[in-house]
Parts: sequence; C-alpha cells; structure tokens
Amino acid sequence: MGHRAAIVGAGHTRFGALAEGPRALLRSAVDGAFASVDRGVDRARVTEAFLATLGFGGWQIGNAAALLCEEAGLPGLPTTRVENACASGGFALRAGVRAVESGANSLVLVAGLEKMTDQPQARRRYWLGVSGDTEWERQAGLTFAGVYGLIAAAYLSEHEVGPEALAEVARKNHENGALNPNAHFQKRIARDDVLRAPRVAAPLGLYDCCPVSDGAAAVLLAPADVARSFTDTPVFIDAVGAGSDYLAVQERPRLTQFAATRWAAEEAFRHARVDRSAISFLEVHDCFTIAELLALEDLGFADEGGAGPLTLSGATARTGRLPVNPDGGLKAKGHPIGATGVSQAYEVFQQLRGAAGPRQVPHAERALTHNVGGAGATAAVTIYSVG
Amino acid sequence: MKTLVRAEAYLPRRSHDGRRVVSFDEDEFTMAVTVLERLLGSLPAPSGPVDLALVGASSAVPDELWSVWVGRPLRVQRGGSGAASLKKALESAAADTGPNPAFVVASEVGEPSGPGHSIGDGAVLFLLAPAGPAPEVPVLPWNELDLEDLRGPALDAAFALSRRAHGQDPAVWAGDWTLDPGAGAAVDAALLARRNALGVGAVSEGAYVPRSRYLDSLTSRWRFVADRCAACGATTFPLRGSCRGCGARSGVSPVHLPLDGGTVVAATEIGRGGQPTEFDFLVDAAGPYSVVLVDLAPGARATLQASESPTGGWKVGDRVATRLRRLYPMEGEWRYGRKALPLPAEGASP
Repeated sequence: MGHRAAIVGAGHTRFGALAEGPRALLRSAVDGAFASVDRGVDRARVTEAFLATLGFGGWQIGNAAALLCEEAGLPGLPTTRVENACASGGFALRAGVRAVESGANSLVLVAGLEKMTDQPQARRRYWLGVSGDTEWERQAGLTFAGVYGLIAAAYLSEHEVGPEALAEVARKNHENGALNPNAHFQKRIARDDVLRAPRVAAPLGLYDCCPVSDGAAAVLLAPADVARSFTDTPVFIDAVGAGSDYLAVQERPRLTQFAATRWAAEEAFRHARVDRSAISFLEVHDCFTIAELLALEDLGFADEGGAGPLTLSGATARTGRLPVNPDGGLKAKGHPIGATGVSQAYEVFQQLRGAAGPRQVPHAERALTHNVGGAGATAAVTIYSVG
Repeated sequence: MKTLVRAEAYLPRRSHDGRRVVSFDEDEFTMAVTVLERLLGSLPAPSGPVDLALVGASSAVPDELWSVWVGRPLRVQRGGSGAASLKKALESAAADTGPNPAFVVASEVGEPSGPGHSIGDGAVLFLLAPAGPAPEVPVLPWNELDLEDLRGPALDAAFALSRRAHGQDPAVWAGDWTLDPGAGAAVDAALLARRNALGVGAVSEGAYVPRSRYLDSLTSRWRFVADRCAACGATTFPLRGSCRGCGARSGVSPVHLPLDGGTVVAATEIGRGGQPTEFDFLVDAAGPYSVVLVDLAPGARATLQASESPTGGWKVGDRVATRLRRLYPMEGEWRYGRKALPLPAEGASP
C-alpha cells in the first residue's frame, strides 16, 4: 500500500426522528467534519467524494451523489454514490480509503445519509425489506426482522444459548447509548423489558430491533503524510476488508454464520498484521440483537456459540475486557441506513483521540468497525489505530 | 368418446364451530390446483396437449398459470360458474375423440351465509379417458366429505353427479343429469367480487417482482423444480440454469424435488409490524403468520410462509407438507406460491 489513509476530521448529526430534511442533515454532517479538522482545512482541497445512501422511501433514488457536492459547497467535485444496503457506509469508507491509497487524492470526503422517519408506517415496512431477496424471502412475508428472526431461531436451537443473551445485547447497548448525545435512544432498559416486549419476528421482539432513524455522518480522509499537516492525532486506517455472499439466506450453507463477515475480517486482519488481542474495542453491526452475537463469532472474538456467554459475562460492556458498541450501536444510537458505516468511523475517530466524553473507552488504541448489508449479503470490516 | 374414470374432490376444512371455512390464502384457483395435484403426478405423461375445462371462478386465472401448474401444453376451455356450465364441459369432454385424457375442474368460493353452512366452497376434478383400457391411475380415497350442506350450484351438481357416477357406467351419468340449467346464475357475483377485491390492486412501492419474473419463477415456486448438475451432482434451487456447486454453466437438467416431506431448519412468527406492506391484509385479517426455512432436499432450501402451524408453533426438525396458496395481491391479481402446512401423520389423507 503506497499511501496509508488517515481520518483527519469527522462530523455527525443527532440520530433519531428529526425535523431536518436530508439535505440539511447532509450539510450539517459535512460542515461538522470540516470544522473538526484541528488546524483547519480549505474545502477546495477535496478532490473525490463518496456518498452512502439507500435512498429510503425513494425520495432521491437515482443520482443522489450530486446532493453531496451541492451540500458540501463543492461544485464540480467528482462524487459517487455507494449503495450496499446497510453496509453502504462501510463500503463508501472503503472506496474513500482506496482513493487515498491510490495516491491520486490528497483529501477525500466520505458521507453517509438516510432520512427514514418522514415515510408513513406502511411505506417504512415496504422499504425495510427492499435489500433482502425480493423474489423468495420477501414473497414469503419476510422483511429483515423476519430473516433475522429465522437466524435467531436457528442460533438458539443450535447452541446452548437462551434469549437472555439477546436481551443483554440490547440492555448493554442502551446503557452505552444513554451516554451518547447523538443517540436515538438515550435511556437505559432492563433485560426484562426486552424479554417482555411484543414479538416482531419470534424469537425477536421490539427491543431486539434497531430503530428507524434519520441522520448523517461524514469523515475526511488524507494520506498519512498530508494528514499530519491537518492534525497531530490523525486516526490511521490500517486495513479494510470486504466480502459478499448469496443474497438469499436460503442459498447459504450456514444460517448462523455470515461468510461475508468472515471473509472481510480475514482480509482486514491479514493486511493490518495485528492480533485480535490488540483491538481495544469494536463497533459491530447490531441491527438486531442476534447480529451482535453473530458478529463476535464471525469476527473471531468468540467461538461458535460463545458470544452469548461472553456477552452475559459483561466482557463486552463499555468497561469490560472487550467493549462492543460503546456509542450504543445501531440498537440504541439508531440506524439511518446509509449513515451507519460512516458513523462507526466517526465513533472510532472520537474514541481513539480520547474525545468520546463520558462514554470514552479507557486506553483505546486500536479499533475495528463491522458493517453488514442486509442479512449478511455484504460486509465491510475496517481496522484503525492512532499514533 | 371419453368416459369418466375418476372424480376427486377437495373441500376446505371445518372450523371448530362446524362451519366450512376457506382460509384467507385459499381461493378457487388454489383449491382447483390442490385437487388436480392429487392426480397429476400419478398419470402417465400424454403425448400431446392436455384438455382442461375450467368451471367456476377459477376460470378467471390466466392460461399461463395453469400451464405452469400442469407442466404440459394445455388446451383450456372456460365455462361460467354454474351447474349448466359444468354439464356442458363434461359433455364436451366426453364427446371428444382425441387420444389424451381430459380434465374438468369445477371450483367455487362463496361467502359464509350463516352459522352451520357455507355456499359452495371447494373443488371437484373429473378425469375422462378415451374408451378402452383406462389409464393406470391409483384410486385415491375421497376426502372426508359432508356433501349435503353444499349449496353452490356447480359444486353441488358436481358432487351429486360424481357420487352417482362413481363406479357406474359413465353413460348413465351423462344421461342422468337432472339439475336445473338455470341454477348457474345463483352464484352471487357480488359476494365473490367482494372477497376477491381484498387488497387487489396494491401498487408496488419498491420491492417489486414484475409479472414476467414471477411467471419465470413458477416452475421452481410451484413445482419445486431444481437444477441437477451432471458434473458434480449438486442441486441448485431455485432454478438458475447453472450449477451452484461447481459453477458449471451447462450440463444441468431439471429435477422435481418432493413437494411434501421437507424439514424445517428455522422458523419465525411474524407479529404485527414485522410484515412487509404487501402482507398487511393478511395480518389485519388473520393475525401473525409463520415463515419457515425448509430443506427440500440436500442442498436445496426454500423460504416458505406457513398456511397453518402445528400446535405450539413450528420447531426445527418439523416436517412439512406444501400446498399452493395465495401470497399477496399485486397489480390487480393475486400472486401464488407454495406454503407450508404440518405434514399429516403417516397414512392420513392431507
């Protein structure tokens, strides 16, 4: 790799049911990223940009990339939209990293955006399944809640893990979200709240599911040598990995593993040349509680069936041995689809620079983010370090 | 000339209060298919097109759907929904001198007209074969029928007729037709329309399967046809025209996977709010529904909505039977697919 990429600035809107429209959200996140650069930056230095968005609800399903150049105030900037469903942000980040590593760019803007709550309930449900397999899963009556419900049922049946492990994922992430001023849900819940909630797709209930949220996030990437001119504490991107799998779960040999995550993690760790023990904390894709358990196993931080006991032991709490989702995760922070992968990078930028405030993970030096599209059809894994 | 060699009937189940109920995902087409399916697999493949006469509301279903179902070229004739139409269809089939067997299917769905009975919910299939040795078909047991409370004109006539004809000289049934020819008009078109209008016409908002792709998928969706690879032996389901096991782009040929007997590998129950919008009508009318992931054969897995669930819900390892049912309405017509039901105990009639 000729040019190691580093994050030199990051911006983030509040996540939640917001009054702002998509353009305002995008503008706010991008402005925040530019404003966060320690020694300031001339916007005109950006030579390439990527926008992650699904276009939820169809408000701008084609050519949305142009909105980024408009709202960033950078007419003429070549901008590309990246769409890999819920992994759009992770893949846009990867595209931005590659654009820096290629040596062709000295400042790259990566933004993620989704506006979801302005859709009527019926249209939300319509759109929540558009990134799953349409011909088979959808026509059997499944959205992602249903697909993850099937996966959760298979997981609980395969392993000696009870629903309280799922509930603990939700409880823990809400506890973290309560410390994050950007989070959609900033309130604690108890395991019993999760277990007693109405079932959405058994065994998953309402509190096993992430919310439908509005929000945007943005990061600025620069080659390492240039990065030092913007800040004394850039956050380096040591490796990106990515993988794809069969779209429909019914076509995969294993229900309770995401091969895409495994391939992405393998690639990322191979290039980063670090052990898993060197990772200070994880940001994983917990769109449903079961997804966090799968992520811990697929990323290699727990054995098969071991993520439940690990979670129940408290190891993944913010103060535990391996903090997972200190920002509250998708579960509590919210999940504006295209923004999520970029938001994970934002959290890493704050944590590794010691700027995460009350939710700061102590001694955070290296981090991993994990962003999944759909029910494992695509996955991106990124490893970061500071100093 | 052809003679009646077989009659088969399908009736919806009884509810606990004794009413005969059509479940929400059944209609004239699915009932007609269900009764046809019982017979079709056991028949020797005819050399030419199959004659299929449709009586009742199922005749509104377009030819291409029937062709997929039968899996053979069809010559479809359509009648109205009354007893006179049934008589005409049977007479016409009997008079035909062609070499192939002919099917006459009558199916109806009425509205429950009060406690104790419904009007004409069910389907009857008649198989007529050319004179001479009858085709080698096993005689299946009749369903548990309570024929007396049927009120639908075509079905009523069909049952009366087939009871009399069963085991008798077909010439007798042809001449013994006594039903009032005018009775056909009695099927209440408004009632049928009201039931069939349910949600039909929903407009796609994104996750849209165009009609052409739906039709393309029916061989797999309805008949569970998969690709078998000559090179590596792997099964690819649904049909892709290539091998998922070794990547071969040629040398795959279609195989029929069993329609019944698959094994559940995962199950979920979709509660209110967990359904895609297309299934709002179903949740509103019938409450939560289950979806099961089923191993049809080694390497072949299907995601199926459950039409019924076992007591206590679906569990990993449960065996399933499948039936054609309504999935959801789109662009003015119903989309159909196989749904899962608990596999009846060994030896029981489905």
